[in-house]
Amino acid sequence: MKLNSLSLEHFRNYSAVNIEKFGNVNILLGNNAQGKTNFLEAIYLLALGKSFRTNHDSELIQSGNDQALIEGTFTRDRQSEIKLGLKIKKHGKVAYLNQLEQPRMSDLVGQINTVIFSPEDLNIVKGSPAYRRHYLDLELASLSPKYLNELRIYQRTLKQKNQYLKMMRDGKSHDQLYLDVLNQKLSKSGGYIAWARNQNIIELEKYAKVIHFRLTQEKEQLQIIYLSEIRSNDLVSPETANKALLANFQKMNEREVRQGITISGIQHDDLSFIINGTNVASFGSQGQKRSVSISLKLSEIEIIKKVRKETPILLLDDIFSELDQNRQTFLIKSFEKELQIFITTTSINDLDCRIIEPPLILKVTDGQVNNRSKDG
Amino acid sequence: MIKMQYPIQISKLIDSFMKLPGIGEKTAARMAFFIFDLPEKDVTDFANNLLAVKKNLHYCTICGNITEDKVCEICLDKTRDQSKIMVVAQPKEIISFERSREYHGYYHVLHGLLSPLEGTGPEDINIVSLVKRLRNDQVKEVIIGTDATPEGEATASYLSRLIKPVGVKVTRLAHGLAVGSDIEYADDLTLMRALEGRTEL
Ligand SMILES: Nc1ncnc2c1ncn2[C@@H]1O[C@H](COP(=O)(O)OP(=O)(O)OP(=O)(O)O)[C@@H](O)[C@H]1O
Ligand SMILES: [Mg+2]
Ligand SMILES: [Zn+2]
Repeated sequence: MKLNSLSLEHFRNYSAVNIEKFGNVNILLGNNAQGKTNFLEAIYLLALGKSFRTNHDSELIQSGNDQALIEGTFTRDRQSEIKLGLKIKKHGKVAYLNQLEQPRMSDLVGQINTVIFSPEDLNIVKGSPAYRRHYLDLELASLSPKYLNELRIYQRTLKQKNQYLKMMRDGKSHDQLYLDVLNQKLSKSGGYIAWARNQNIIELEKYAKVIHFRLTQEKEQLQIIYLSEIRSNDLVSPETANKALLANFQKMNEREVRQGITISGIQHDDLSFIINGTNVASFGSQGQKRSVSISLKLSEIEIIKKVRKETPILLLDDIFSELDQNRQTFLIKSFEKELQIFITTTSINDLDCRIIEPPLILKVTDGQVNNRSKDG
Repeated sequence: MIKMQYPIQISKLIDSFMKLPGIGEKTAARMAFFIFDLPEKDVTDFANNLLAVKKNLHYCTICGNITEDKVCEICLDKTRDQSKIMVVAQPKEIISFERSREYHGYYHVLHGLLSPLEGTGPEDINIVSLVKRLRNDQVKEVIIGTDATPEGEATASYLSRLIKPVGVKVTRLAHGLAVGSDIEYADDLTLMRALEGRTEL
């Protein structure tokens, strides 16, 4: 998959840029705060419909303007060119597919795939359970529209249930049948979500194990464990997970009504990373955590290739400054030739020599992008 | 702040327009000035029409549809199929189904969906009178025509579990309606297919 052209209008610090041609390896070069990460963010937004930096759409719009526009044309393997657009207004976004307005944002998600490497990836290992859940959900949602739909139903129904439990606790309503229906809906969506998460983690571990072993010069065995209240033998199918979850809700029913909040469910799920038998989050070194996050990201590429039968576009934000020589070389070597890569950096000196193909250098200065490839 | 400078009649009218769904202050102000510029006859008609809707229309005591009389035309029509009741969230959805001319049974309007987030629990929508209607032996099937949203689905499941023990067949419109879509906006063909493809809950 390749990005062929990109235009930005009133997006972040870009007033208007239009780039008609990209290479396979593209380097966004510029000083701090010039708009390099913003550029990657725009590509990411076309892929996932949301930012990796903010949940507030209004931050994406150039200050003093009402709306931002991102448009990109892409070629997918064995398919014709596709044009994706995203109009961001203060109170919502609209997606365009080949110029046609789409009824739902989810119609955009998954049309193209990206994998982003950034210094924040360390949070997948170090961060909160919520951060890891979010990471897992984003990855799965971009691979499967059904996952995204079930997740939305679950989240909405969970809010409804929590509100109803409050109404019950406060004596405003008391209808166990309705609560049973909500639990039944939550279990159905939640069972599917838990099953899909588990499948994805098994798949992720399969790739990450091999990659991590090589990355650490065959010193570290990586294991990834899914932490859920649903036991692993109930995770074999969406139906068994559904049953198990429903049983948990029923067991907790009295307590939930008393406390006025949902206790059971998949909204507490987490991941745990184990190296040679010890938990990385608690006992690993900073370097080990960094390696695990790189192994995971590289595995993501493999999974996308397998599921979508398509190579993702790689977005590398500032990561070379954070990696030692060994890991840098490993990373560069793992990228295949046909992958399209966008790299941000403040200085070209420490990476140009290792890049196989001659890169296209895009100089980013205060919301302007200049193609510098001709003058070398 | 700005509103204080309007004549009192205009600001009152702005307040009234702002009660309408989706109308903010700017639009309301534009409408208020527009009204001022209309011929008096149009404005009188407008005002009378508003009052007429409220004064002369109310909910049908049987099905909850909007009607001029105690009981609506559909409920009065004894040639319709006595064995079916279609449950919808709002009266305007009856109009969509009637336009498709494919359905000949009766209706029941819930006036909302189960949604605690909007303060609506099972006691707050028109369910009790539906259950009463089912005591009539002639009703053999309840068709649930709520939207395919999480709230529409939960309301459908709730009704199904409530009604089934009474011994009435419960079906759900499913086929042809896009996930997350509103019945109000569906075209006739889609609604027809939805009717044909209804499934038992
Ligand atoms: N909504 C917005 N309107 C205008 N300017 C914005 C907006 N959002 C961000 N910016 C500006 O964009 C710049 C930051 O861009 P970006 O994060 O892409 O920097 P960068 O080039 O990646 O820098 P670094 O090397 O420090 O990572 C800042 O100058 C910021 O003020
Ligand atoms: Mg940056
Ligand atoms: Zn009636």
